[in-house]
Amino acid sequence: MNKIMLVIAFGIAVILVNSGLTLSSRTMDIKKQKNEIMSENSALSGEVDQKQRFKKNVPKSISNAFTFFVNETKMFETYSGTQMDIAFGVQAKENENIEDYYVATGFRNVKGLPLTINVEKFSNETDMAEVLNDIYLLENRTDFKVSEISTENNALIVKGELYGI
Amino acid sequence: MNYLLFNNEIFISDGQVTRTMGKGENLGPIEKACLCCVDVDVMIASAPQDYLDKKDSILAQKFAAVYSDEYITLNERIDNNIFQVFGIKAEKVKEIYSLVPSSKVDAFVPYAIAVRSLLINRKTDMAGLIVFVDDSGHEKLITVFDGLKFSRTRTIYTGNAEDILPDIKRSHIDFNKKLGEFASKSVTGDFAVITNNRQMAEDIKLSEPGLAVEFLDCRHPALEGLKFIGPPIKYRIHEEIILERKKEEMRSRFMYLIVSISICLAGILFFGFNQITYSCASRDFDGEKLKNSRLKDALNTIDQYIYQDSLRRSKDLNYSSVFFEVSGLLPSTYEISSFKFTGNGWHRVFETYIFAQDDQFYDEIPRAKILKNAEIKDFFIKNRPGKYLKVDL
Repeated sequence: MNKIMLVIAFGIAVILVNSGLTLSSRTMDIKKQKNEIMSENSALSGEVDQKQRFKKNVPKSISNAFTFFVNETKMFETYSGTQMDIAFGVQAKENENIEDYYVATGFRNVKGLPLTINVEKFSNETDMAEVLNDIYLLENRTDFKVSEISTENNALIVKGELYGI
Repeated sequence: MNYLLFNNEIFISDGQVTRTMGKGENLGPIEKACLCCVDVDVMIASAPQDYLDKKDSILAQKFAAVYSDEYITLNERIDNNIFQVFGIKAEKVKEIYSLVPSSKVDAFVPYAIAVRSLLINRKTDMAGLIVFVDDSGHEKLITVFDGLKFSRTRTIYTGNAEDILPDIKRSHIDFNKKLGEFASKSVTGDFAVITNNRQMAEDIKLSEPGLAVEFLDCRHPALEGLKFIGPPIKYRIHEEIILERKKEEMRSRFMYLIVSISICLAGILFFGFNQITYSCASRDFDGEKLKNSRLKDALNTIDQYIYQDSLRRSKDLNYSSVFFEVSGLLPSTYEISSFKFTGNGWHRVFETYIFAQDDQFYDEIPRAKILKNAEIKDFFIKNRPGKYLKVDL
């Protein structure tokens, strides 16, 4: 009887110690995860503090931004004579919804639409400088961000992303 | 300490004064006592001395085979695997313990052992057979000793030496017969008589001149001998033994219980400690997760409201100005073949390939203003020498 009691006590103790060790292991994992999330939170807090310095504006839908961007290019074509052919950054198929081409940006909940502007038929630098000025103005008036401007076969290729929510 | 002798009467001594009492009389307050009892049966038996439990069991069985009544026995080692077993009827032990509670009794031995203790204490030569005659008033107690071995004590109700001498001889013969194979080798048939009655000693000497008779000056030798009992031995009734065993069992069970509980408790403590640690860590982790979630939500909202301003701030580069400045600094002999603005965020690069115009020389490119730290390399493109310019903006 006494030995049975002792054996049962040992059994219970073994189960408890085993459970305790499992808990201990889980605690270690949780502490590790907590440390990781704490450092992430610290970075996020810093990011929040940094971003608080920016001016807040009412966000624009990407569709409205795109419409505005297209209208602006048309305006530059009308006033400056710069012919700008807008194409999607990737090879889009006909009749395809442009929503399929939205990409993530460096801003949370803000989408990006990769676009390419082709400006053809340049003969000298003066024209080029004017076109570059138009690109600069277009970029500043819209939510379009230029990532690359290059020349290719006497044409100017402007690559970038249009931002919106 | 009180010393008591139980026979037909009870002799009680406080170490100095001895009084006699009838069985029905009140013994008075007794704190501690050593007892001896005359009515004891004795036998010599063999048993394996190395196995204590087995030995006691074998000796009890052998004693029970000779004496049919219910006895309580004790035993002492006489020789290798030889034991002297002395039993008192259980009824007698209960009767004695009803008068003196067991808890107050330090030693409870046969009368003969008490007397033997006195004889040993008085340095009596115990090598030969000794017949001890104890004159306790109107009773004479005859016990025969052979070293440690002793006979059953006989009670004689006679006063003169002539009558008692045959009883002494009979006791001696009976004891010799009973000892049989267990008798000491030194026993030759002669014996000595020791008595505590001076007159009786002289009378026996006169009646049996060849017999060695010795006088022991002690009124109550058993009570005196009780003072010199070596390791205290004590008869115990079965109920007391059972009670003690139960207590021992309870103590053992309690100890096992304590050990078991301690083991369980250690496990519980270990588990509890880890559970608490886990709970605290889990709570902290949940708190951090919540904070993380809130920060991400805040950033989601903030990003939506600040992306336009952030974009605006990064759009400070006027490509036209850069192009103008670089082309303005280049010697007029060069023409720009191709160029590229790349980069994102705050670090942007302007790269261009330039060639000398037809029939023109390759003049040195001035390292001034925007071209001060520009990277300039010579190149061949389509078998035509040219220069590569890289300007960090």
